[in-house]
Amino acid sequence: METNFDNIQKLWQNQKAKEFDLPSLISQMKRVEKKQKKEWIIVISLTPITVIFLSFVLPWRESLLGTLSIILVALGMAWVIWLSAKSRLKSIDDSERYSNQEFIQSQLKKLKLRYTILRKHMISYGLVIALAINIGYLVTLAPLSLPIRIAAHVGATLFIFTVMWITIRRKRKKYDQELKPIIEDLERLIER
Amino acid sequence: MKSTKELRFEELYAQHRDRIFRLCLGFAKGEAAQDLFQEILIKIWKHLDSFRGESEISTWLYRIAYNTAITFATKEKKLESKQMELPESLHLIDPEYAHSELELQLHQLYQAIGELPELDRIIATLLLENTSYRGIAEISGISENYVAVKVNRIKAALTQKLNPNGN
Repeated sequence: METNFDNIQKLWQNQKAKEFDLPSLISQMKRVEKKQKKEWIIVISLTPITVIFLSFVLPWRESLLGTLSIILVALGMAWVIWLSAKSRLKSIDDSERYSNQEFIQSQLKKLKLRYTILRKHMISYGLVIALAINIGYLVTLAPLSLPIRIAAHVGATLFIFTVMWITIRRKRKKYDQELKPIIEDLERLIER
Repeated sequence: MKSTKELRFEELYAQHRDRIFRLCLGFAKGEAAQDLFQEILIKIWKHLDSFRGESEISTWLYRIAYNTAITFATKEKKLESKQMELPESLHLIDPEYAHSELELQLHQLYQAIGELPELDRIIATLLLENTSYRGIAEISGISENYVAVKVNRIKAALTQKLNPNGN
């Protein structure tokens, strides 16, 4: 069997890499890196820009409730950015430390986190945003009559929860089609 | 003028390209193998700055390569199942069109490796590159003893598949 396997080894090592345009790949990657840096700067600066915009444009900053509303929106946005960064599948920054089994475990954890985000965190995010909007309305709609204010509060809350419900339903369907088979496949690869 | 990263990347490419290419052939067929090869190179480039020298550069490199290959194979499988459920053999080079005896043998070898479960495929391709049991354990994440058990099974399976009559 050894001799046979030696032959198989020789046969395997006989295969050489095909011609590959490495310089053009390197220049492409450099371009992508530059673009990604720009995009990351935009994403990172989006939250403070939004908060500054809200605090200056809307007449909320004068009151405590207005400030609280702005803080809630900012926290909600920062939380979403943090969660989505945490559940990104493509990153393998720690490959030097990760063996294949550890890598599979980490990928599984990230994929499962996406389901958790959908099941728990999206609802919490919806609640935070609804709370922030309602607190903001307490200030901005103060001069209006009570029925109009109640209608605005109920309308905004219902709108947020309807959008949230539709988004969660759609995403859940998409995840069941795309992520579930990958999760099942990766689970199968774990040696117990 | 080329940067240090660029020079280092080119050096790694020159040293390891054949081995990386072969591992791609163990996980994907035809054009998909070329796509995987490119994906691995991109990952290596992307993470080259984060190499901290805690392990051999080759171990780091093959961990990236195999981790990418596993993700790639999982995604490919999902794509294949979405397509028109073509028989597996249709994706391969038709042996009738193989230009030489060597190509035919290589085709049979890729097919035999492709039929192994993913973890066995990792071990098989590392074994075919003369990687030590310790090296295989470091890359795959299973114990050296378990590697030894697996190696015996894989050697027997490959030899049997490629030489069913035992000649």
